[in-house]
Amino acid sequence: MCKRTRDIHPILSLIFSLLLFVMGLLFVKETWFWMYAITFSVLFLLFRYEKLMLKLIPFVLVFGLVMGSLTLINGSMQDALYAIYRVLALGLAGVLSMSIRPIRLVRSLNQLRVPRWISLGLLIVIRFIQIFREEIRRIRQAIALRGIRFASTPALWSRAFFIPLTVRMLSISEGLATSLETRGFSTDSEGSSFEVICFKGRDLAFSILFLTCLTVYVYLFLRGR
Amino acid sequence: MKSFRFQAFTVKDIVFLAVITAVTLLASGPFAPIVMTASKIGPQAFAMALPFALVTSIGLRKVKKSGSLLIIGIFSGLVLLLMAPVMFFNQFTGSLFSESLALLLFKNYENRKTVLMSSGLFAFFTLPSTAVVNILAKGKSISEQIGNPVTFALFTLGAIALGLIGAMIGNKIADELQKAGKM
Repeated sequence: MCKRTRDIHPILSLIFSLLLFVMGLLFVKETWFWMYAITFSVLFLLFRYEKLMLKLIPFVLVFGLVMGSLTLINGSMQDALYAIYRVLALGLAGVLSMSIRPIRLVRSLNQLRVPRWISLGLLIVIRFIQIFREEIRRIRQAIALRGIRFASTPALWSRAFFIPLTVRMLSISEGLATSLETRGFSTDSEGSSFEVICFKGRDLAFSILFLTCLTVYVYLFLRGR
Repeated sequence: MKSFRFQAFTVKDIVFLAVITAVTLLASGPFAPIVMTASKIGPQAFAMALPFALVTSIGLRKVKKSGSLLIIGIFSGLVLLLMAPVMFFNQFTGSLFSESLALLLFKNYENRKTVLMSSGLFAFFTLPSTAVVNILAKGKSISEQIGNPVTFALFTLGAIALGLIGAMIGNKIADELQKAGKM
């Protein structure tokens, strides 16, 4: 059963995000790059990505300025501007890739008959980055409580950090694997999906607008060569 | 003589390798700004060598199957694909080349040297794909990317050395855990 959501199909989002980034890198040195950025920003606003865009603006500003300043040490103002444009291209692509919910991506990958070990692994990696960030914070707090400092005793600090981290990695993965096996999951069997990810009219409209805009810029790029 | 063989991966193996990948990405996270701002090739591999080798060598000591490093490379590449597409090729080719070379020389992961070489040279083997992607996507020539040859050579040797040091530390951690019966 197809769920009615505002999200663009995850596979489309992934492909368009890649296209936007790679093309962005190609177009960085063109005088009309700012038009490219504005066009796709407007397209994202039309498709209600404003919240994600607001989230990404601080990153693009800070990272763009850092990149620009670092480039300015060795290069010209022009090079610094290109560096900022590269971050802008990354930010634009980030809007689409951040809109993908991991579980929807995995479900659509399963529908495309991508091997289950790949989709399972991808989901675990995305989910567990946050979990291990919390684990690392706890381990570092425990080290600080014991009065161990990296600056004075780096070997002891590393030991106190890596051994508990590895033990947690082992116990978490053991528990997760047992939990998956008891639910009948295996890498060679075909599983069923709780939700079917459909291609909707909204996806079609987005694809047409996106590809039309991109084609225009590719044409401008090729004409300039 | 020990021979080269492929063994099927179980759910347990896949889960552990995915967890290892998550930790690898977290461990190398603080070095991401260096990787993204460096305009020459070399500093990226140098910065990533130690954390990548350290964590992946623990993973290879637990899952001693041919293809384990490639799976870590695929998982980390797929996650990085969402942020920076070029990183997918980087991770994939890096893991493929270093694991192939290690298995070609030592046949399987029963030998500790295979783990050392496979995870230790991972960062070094990302250099060729970075160069190729920079030529294709940014139009930079090899000489432009290398810049000063002495600096490039130092970064490359540093990446190999740090990778091997990281793999040795990882092996030591794995030894301790094996002694404690945790692995």
